Amino acid sequence: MAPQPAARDAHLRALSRTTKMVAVGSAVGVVGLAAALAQSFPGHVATTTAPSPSPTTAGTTAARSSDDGATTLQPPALVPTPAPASTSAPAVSGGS
Amino acid sequence: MSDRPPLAVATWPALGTTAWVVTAASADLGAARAVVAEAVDRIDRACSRFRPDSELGALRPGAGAVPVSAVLCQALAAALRAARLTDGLVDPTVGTALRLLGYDRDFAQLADRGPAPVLRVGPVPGWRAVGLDPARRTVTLPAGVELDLGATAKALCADQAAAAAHAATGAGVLVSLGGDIATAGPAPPGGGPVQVSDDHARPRSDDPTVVIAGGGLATSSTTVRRWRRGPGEAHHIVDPAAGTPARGPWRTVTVAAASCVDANTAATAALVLGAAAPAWLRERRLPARLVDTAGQVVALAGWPADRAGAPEAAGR
Repeated sequence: MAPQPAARDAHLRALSRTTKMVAVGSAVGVVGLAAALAQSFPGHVATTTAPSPSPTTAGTTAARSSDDGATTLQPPALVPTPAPASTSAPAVSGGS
Repeated sequence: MSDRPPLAVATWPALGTTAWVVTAASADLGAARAVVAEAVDRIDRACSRFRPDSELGALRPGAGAVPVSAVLCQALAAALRAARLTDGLVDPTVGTALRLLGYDRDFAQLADRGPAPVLRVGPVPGWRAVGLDPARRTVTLPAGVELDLGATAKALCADQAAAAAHAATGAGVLVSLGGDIATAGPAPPGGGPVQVSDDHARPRSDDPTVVIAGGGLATSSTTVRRWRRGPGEAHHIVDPAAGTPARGPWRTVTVAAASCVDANTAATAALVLGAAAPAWLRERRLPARLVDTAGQVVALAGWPADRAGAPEAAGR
């Protein structure tokens, strides 16, 4: 029997707030948020407990340890320029 | 016809991809290559997710504060810095998500096809779960937290290797590790030419070439390191907010920055960020070239337009 809309919505909201283990035949890369999966595959979604960091210790340490003074990513001193025609490039920047 | 003098180049397989070392004079190439090869080996032994003897692979989540080498400590700090500066768009705690997606061994050994995966859909644990104490050189991982340092560690290695090779030779050096490019020392006359492509191993003849005079350049792409599981296809750029492959409008993003690790961080963040990436990059004054899934190019923040008449960034 289908749940009442209000109950279902509450359930889906709860699902979207927690980490899910999802065992479905759906396409990797096509799957979306957990709520969408729960709607599409209502029999295949189960909640699990996400790994629980310790925000009072680990998080604080991490924030401090990675604080090298930078507040943003640093732009280059000079922007790239177009290469003259027929320039042979010894290196390629691409996905790897 | 270009009148720039030829550059000396050495290449070899490394880190599951290709390493390049480029110097202006061939006399400097051998020493530069040796220094870079040593740096690459150090980072691989420290940070590989797949080598059975790697330091990262030996870390046990839930084991408390574990001593780490200086190399791994620096790589962890770089990964956490990248996460902090991108508000978690680039996050080293995607290890479990990648493993569940099927990326659980060196990519060369990964079967192209396999059964449908069991996914954990939801945010990854998050970089704040990682406790790094650089003074004591220890790391603490809560149970269930697996790290992947792939992107930032390779870029960091390129930066460090280029600097070390320059220090050893006194020459200007360009280092590329799978397309993550770092420079150190004086640029060759006319600058260092770099071709920009979806795939560093398969550039096309119409891919543009730009000249850089310093800093770093990096490209992230969803067109490489792809594999099939069940009816779906996955790739290696995971959205930390969803724990699944990023699904934005861009297939490839190239960024120039002061360092390779910053360029790599921004390129990966842009793929994850999606439609908001151009504004995000402009705000940070990071020259970038974005290619959408249809092949349309957006150049911004000073990145030169493609010669073939690529659409300009206006309005995007």
